[in-house]
Amino acid sequence: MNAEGEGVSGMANENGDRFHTDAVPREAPILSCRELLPGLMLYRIQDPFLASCARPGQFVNLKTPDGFLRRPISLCRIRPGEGAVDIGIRALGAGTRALCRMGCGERIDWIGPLGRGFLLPPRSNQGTSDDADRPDRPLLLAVGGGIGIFPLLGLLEEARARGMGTLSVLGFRDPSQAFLLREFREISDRSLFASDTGGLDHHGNAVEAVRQLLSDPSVRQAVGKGGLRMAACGPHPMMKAVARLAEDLGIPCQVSLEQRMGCGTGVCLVCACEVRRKNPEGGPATDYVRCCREGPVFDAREVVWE
Amino acid sequence: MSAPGMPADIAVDLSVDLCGIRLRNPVLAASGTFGFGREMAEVFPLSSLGGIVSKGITLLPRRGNPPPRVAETASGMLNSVGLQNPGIEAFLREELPFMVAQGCAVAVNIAGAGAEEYEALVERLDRTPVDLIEVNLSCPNVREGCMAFGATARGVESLVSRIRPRTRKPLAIKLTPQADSISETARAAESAGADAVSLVNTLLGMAIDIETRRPVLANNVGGLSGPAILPVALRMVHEVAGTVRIPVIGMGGIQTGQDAIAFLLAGATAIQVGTATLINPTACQDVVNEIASWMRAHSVPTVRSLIGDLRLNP
Repeated sequence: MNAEGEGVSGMANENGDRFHTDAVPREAPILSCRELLPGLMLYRIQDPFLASCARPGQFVNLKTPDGFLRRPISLCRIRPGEGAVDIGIRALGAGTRALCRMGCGERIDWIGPLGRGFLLPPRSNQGTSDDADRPDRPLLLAVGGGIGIFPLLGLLEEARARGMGTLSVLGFRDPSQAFLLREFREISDRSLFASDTGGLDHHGNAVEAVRQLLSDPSVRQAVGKGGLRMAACGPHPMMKAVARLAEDLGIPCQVSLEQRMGCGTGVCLVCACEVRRKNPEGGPATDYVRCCREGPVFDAREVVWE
Repeated sequence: MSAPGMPADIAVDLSVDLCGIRLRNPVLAASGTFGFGREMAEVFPLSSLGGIVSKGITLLPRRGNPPPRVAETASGMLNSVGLQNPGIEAFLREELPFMVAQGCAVAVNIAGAGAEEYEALVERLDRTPVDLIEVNLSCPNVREGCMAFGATARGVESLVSRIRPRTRKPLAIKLTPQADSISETARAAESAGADAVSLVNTLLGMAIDIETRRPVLANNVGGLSGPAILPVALRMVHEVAGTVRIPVIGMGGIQTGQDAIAFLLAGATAIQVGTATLINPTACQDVVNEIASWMRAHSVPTVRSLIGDLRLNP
């Protein structure tokens, strides 16, 4: 029933990480719901199986009360202790609007976990979450924008649990569109929130805020000692700019891509993402791979950006 | 309170004979909605199905169309995958052995840009363990070949008569609902030596994003599938089953055992479940179980007795 995701990217399975997937439909009850913003819901859903094996960056595919295809939604927080996971849903079309009207006690029909999530370095032998002050621990910088921030919260939690230092940069159009700031502050050693219209930490976009954070002497010092990796999820132009910045600075970077999806399980081939692949005949080559199966998280260097 | 019908533990016979291939039951997984079976084999044992049909295979690897390749529609969806596949050689080497090991019948769906490609494909498949070759003359998502042959009876007849001498494998010709007359294209396939006809493939459609004023699909148009097309498909299966003597494989929007039984009554010897798998990964297996339950509830001991048993109104 469970599959082990086979690596396609250069960063895959560098530390034996495996992504379990399960496409058998299950019904799971909504334990709690919270309206983050008008039309933006955060649900906690009980599913002990999913909570026990899902990893940050993986997703679930939800049946909607109104709509034909399922809707892919990335996992936000994974809570194995509570047998539950959190997901955030924005009401965009008829299907997600209907999902956002669901309330506590109602049951969601979903499949998951699906896809390949973020890869993190293994927990170091000495490193525990207790020695947060160790100067040479590796750092994770999560860069998010809009509803792309959801999976980064779970990723930062896992990074901290593995003894990594955590940095976050979030970008929003406007302070009134910002959400989960308290949660990100709590899980990040350093956080920087950006707004295009001002009113948050940084007046400007997330990519500028990343540059600002990385130019901070104390961050540069920590990066020099423990090494830094980045993870990005958000609007396509933001991820493209973050990927370029990471490449310029020689920082490993993973991005969670979005594509219109059909099955979510890998059989229909509609969610094509163009990536650079090793060409056995030599020379560079690109290929369409499945966002739902080989992704949604990719090594930023292999993505062909439009 | 006891329900009428047969006790739940009584075995019903779901087996059918499809042009010499004995199928455990009449349910096949449709091409393009099941990959090569690998993903769904993790979900349920494929031996519970009558068979599986591969994603469309071409002579050389194909990248497929740029994304977006999908648009949701009322009770259905449009796709424009554009026959992305690894090509026949990689398929035979890397995918067919897995399919054959699943314990159900294996059909390979093939597509070509020209008659020579179809000839080469059937020749290559002739000495393989494939049970059935489904010849796609109906893909709406590629520029050349395919539907160009399937649109007219003359096109179908000329293509099928060219490939027929090249293989002893049973050939099922997959027909488009966009032919001038699907009875005529089915008859042309039969007279050129086809062993079965599969119908229907998708209907060419379009979705427009009114905010951007652009089509949703990068390819502008795509094939419509799902329950939206079921009544059209059912009518065509009924029409074709009354026209040809070779078996009809029916498909188009089947989601439940009840849908499948309607196609059997309309004259289909076997049916395919396609788009339903994208929403419900266990759809094919569910359809098998629902057919069996319905037969027990209605005291129907063999599924064969349902085939073509439609009673038309006077």
